[in-house]
Amino acid sequence: MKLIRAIVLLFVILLFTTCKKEFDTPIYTQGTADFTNYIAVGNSLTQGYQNGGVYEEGQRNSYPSIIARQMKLVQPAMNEFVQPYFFGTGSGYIHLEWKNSTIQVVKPEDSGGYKEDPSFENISYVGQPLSNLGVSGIKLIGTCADPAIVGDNYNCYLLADNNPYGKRMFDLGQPATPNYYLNDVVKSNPTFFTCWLGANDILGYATHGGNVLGISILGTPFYVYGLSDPNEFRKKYDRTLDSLTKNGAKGVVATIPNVTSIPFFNLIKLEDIKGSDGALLDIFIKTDNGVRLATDEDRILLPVASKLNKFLTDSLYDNGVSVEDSIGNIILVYSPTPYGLGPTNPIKNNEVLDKDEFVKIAPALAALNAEIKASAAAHNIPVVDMENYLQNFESGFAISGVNYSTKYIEGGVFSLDGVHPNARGYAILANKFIDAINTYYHSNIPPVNINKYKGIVFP
Amino acid sequence: MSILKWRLVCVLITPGVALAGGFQLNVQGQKALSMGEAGTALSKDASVLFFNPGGVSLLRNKFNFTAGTSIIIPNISLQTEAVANTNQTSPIGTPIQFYATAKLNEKASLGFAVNNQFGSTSSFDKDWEGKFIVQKLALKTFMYQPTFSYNINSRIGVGAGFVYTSGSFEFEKAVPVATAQYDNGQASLKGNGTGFSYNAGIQGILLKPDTTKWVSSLKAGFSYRSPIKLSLINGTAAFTDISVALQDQFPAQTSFNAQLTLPGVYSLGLQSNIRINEKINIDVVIDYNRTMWSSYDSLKIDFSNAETPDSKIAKNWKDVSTFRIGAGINYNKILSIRLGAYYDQTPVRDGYVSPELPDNTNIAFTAGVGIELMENLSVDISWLVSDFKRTASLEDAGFSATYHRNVNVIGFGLNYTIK
Repeated sequence: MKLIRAIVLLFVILLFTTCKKEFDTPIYTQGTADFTNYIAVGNSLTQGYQNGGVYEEGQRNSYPSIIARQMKLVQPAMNEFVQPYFFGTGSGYIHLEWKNSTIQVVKPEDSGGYKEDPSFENISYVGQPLSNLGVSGIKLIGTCADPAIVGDNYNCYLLADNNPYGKRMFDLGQPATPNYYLNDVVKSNPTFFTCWLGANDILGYATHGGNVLGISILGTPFYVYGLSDPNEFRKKYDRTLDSLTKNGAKGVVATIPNVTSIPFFNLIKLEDIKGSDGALLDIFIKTDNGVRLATDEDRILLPVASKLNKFLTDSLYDNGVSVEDSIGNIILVYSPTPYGLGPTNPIKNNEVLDKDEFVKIAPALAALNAEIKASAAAHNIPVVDMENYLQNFESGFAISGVNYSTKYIEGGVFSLDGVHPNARGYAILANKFIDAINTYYHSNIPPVNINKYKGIVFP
Repeated sequence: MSILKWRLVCVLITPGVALAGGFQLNVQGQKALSMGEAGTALSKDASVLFFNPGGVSLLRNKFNFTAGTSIIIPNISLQTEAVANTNQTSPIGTPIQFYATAKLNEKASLGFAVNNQFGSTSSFDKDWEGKFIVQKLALKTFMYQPTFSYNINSRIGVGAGFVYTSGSFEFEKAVPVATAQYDNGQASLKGNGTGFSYNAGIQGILLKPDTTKWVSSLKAGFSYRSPIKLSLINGTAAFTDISVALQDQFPAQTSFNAQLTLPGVYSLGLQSNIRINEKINIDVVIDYNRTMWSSYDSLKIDFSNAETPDSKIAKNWKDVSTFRIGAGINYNKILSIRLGAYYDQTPVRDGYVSPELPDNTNIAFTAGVGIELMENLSVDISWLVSDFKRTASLEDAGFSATYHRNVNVIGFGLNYTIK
């Protein structure tokens, strides 16, 4: 009997200890934040721009929509997060194809490219309440007009009117009496916001190769792609945060990432540009100070790659003639001169960020980010330091079993335009925002499993 | 000109492949297992072949046979910030043991052992959060050990066995390249390999059995099992759901070589018998093991296809100690009730904890019964439970989680002797 009792006891204990040892779902809390009406303010990064365009699939993976989905777990009664979807291929976008045994980057305008969707022209969200107010291309200094600057209201209108997305989302008003972006921001009446504006106040300059495109409005010079003035930037940033926090809304803002570390400025390396004999080729660039040989300090912009590539894969140009140039170097001369390979056909000024332009970016970035931090502090709004966070990416990093870097395509986080993240990259950014929100507002929004999002889509 | 021909150096096997600490299967004898697996100084059945070949010649009967199996029931869950709960889908493991010894004469004995000393199968849902680290990892080993043992005198026995190991390795993970159709590619590696090692030991009787004394006997043992270099030659690697553009790097079929070193183990043990009365006596055992896991500093996988990136995963494990204690109450030679516990250090450092076999320093509890069915036939039933939580990361892979591992092992053994 003793034996049987002992055995029975043994199995009772056994049964007890083999119960599932699962973890419970945490109890979610919104902390001191109220996500009822979450509004996202920003530029292309906020709109979900990727692969050189805005289209529904990309928008569904915008970082604000990812954040909103997670907020919903915490506060199920929050408003639906409304995005202005551009259906199908939307504005058109870049994709990869496998042709002639190589991976090819196919742009919308190329044959077989994903062109603008027929619905894109007629689509309008003007007058509809939107939650994602991200507009590709918008600068912080274009969100409202400074009365102290002559013609600034025209500037804001022009910025918006040139924008294929802005005019489909907002009533822009008239050139003399424009309806500023900030008016729509105020109307959205957020209880919580994310604000990531400012990148275009630097990026526009960089992606146009430092070519600022000066125009005159009412006699005042105006630079479409200029680096924004920190004082003007600060004034308008303050106004933006005033607008957002007007009704007591809480939120987070983010700093401007270091734009020069993105693939757009780093894909083309002179050491990779070789002729069919394997010898390095001389590359000529046009700068504000004339035409000269490119150096490693000049950044040739990503779109040039396909132009160089076309030449270099074209046998027509395989046999250049060696001649001595004016300073005694032996150079190969082709006829007609292919793009970038001779002083008569240099890489255009707006397709290279030469070293004199490049050095202006770091101080401008530091100045604007200092203003963002100061403005946020004055409004009691926490800052997501994206500049700092993305700096760490340059040396490579791993998340949930995948290694990433800032390299084009193989790095895994940037989309094919070399500027904007892909879906997985946006998920990583969304988690960074969520982390900041949780820290400051004592909420516990769960971050997303980034492996559920696709990175580069291969052919 | 190669600007647009990116070489994708996707790290195929991210630093996740671990055959973590639990992959030494300490379930090699049911009597010892019931008593904290402290078997170095025991010589009660043929499982002494594994624990200490020196004790073989001290077995009383001419022929000893022991056969058994253990049913390992794992319940392993993990929690990350993003996913509240993920369960491993690992199957139940059933390592076996078979031991046979025969006395050649008064002095010399022969023995043969077959068991599974290392192994683990860990699996997850294919689409789980850490799919790029591991989806499935299985290691199985069979050890075959012919043994010779000799008693130098009536107090001291020595013995040594030659160990031939055949192992199989299976590894599945997702490859982080997507296409329109597939969220990720899929890698599947399978290989077999063999290794050689030895197992040697000595057992000495410090106090000869004396039924007039309270402490009626005392025995000590020392054994060493050498490390096993398991070479997996010409394993097959298959890549599926891979973009047409990347099939140079990830071909449908290629082969690989890998090597992993199973650690050497030093063991020191004591066994004493305490006499309560005519019918009842108590065995007390203690053991100390030193497992040289530092031999497992990295796991290298070399693919024969030159374009497929080879993989070297830093493991950086450390040598660890295990302290074991157990007792068995024997009633009238027909029934034994056994209890035990052991304190097991983990070889896995912080920053190297991988989700397939999370490991932690823990205390495990054991129990069991032994029943003599006939004079020469007895059965042992054992049970072990180990339970721990650990929050740790696999730094190279950027993966952190809180793990809860609960393992129950139920073992059955049958002993048959011929006088």
